Amino acid sequence: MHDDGIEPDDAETVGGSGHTLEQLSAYVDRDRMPRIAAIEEDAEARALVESMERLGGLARTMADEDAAAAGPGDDQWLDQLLGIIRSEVRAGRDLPIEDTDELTSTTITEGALREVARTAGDSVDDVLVGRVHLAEHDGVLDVRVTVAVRFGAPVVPIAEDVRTEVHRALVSHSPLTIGTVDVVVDDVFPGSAP
Amino acid sequence: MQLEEAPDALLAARAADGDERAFAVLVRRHASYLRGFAIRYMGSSLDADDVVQEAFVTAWRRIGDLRDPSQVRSWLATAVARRATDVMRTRARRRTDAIEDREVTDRRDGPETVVERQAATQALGRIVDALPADQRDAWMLRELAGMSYEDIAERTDSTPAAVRGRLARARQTVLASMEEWR
Repeated sequence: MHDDGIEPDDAETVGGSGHTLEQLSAYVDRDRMPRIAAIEEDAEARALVESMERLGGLARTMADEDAAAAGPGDDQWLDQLLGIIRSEVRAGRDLPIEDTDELTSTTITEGALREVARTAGDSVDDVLVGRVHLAEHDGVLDVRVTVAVRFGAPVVPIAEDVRTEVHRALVSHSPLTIGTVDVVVDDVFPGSAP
Repeated sequence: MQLEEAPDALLAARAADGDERAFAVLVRRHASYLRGFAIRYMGSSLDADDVVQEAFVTAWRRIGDLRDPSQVRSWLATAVARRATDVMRTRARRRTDAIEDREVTDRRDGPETVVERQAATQALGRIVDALPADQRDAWMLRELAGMSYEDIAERTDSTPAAVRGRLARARQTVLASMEEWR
């Protein structure tokens, strides 16, 4: 967002701040960052900034009321939408599975392997899997999963459990040799243990 | 662990990996807000269901492009605003008072607080609707959908500098009309 837009020469400044209403409005949209002393220390400019912030708060209340009035949509609408979503599942590329005879060819998709990894990781308490990165080289599959851990839960043993479960699941489902399984804890989410 | 407890960023990351169950949680979590925004922005509930549904489908196809997964709600609102502006361009604007006539059943506060707050938001809604169309659009896309000046400019065939000016004028008018909020 731009604070240095060109102002008309006759644009009035607010109080003794040396800033126009338009600049104050843009300042509010930047959450008053970085702090501009000329605005913060001028009573009139500051009062206007705070009025605009209160107005933003009222707008959020209006959005909440609109959400409550609108509701989540009826079941038919939701089912139809989720039906479209399911019909467009992105499977990713196919990985060949070693065939038992020449007449059949079997593959498993990357999407299916990601699902296997997610399900295995999610089975560990106090953790949810985020991304699953698969990298294949020379018939070996390296895996990196990012996970979020519940606040207060022991991170290291959980990450180790996730690694073990994901490795175990992929070994039995993947046509490729499983190389490394890296677990990256990149988020913590609130909530007490069940 | 239930997927329903997961933060938006994690659900968006899983959805980008093709997990439709994670996306379904995002749909359920944000549908009310997006429908409320679409009805308010379009001034009608007639097209809101279609617009929000199409926005979700587009979002599912493009969720891999989402750079900051924690901003998923604003990103979805932008998708709704995109569809809504497309629809509004191809039809004459139909205005109804669908939202203002409806009762809001939020019982977290006492009845007096709710009434006072509704009076304020209803006044705000009327004042915003009376703004010139370009200011009204800029105000709603910024204050209700949380869009950046750049995104608003792109959606309204304008420039960030012009959007900045419209927003300031809109806020000035609204503040002048709502003495008690000054």
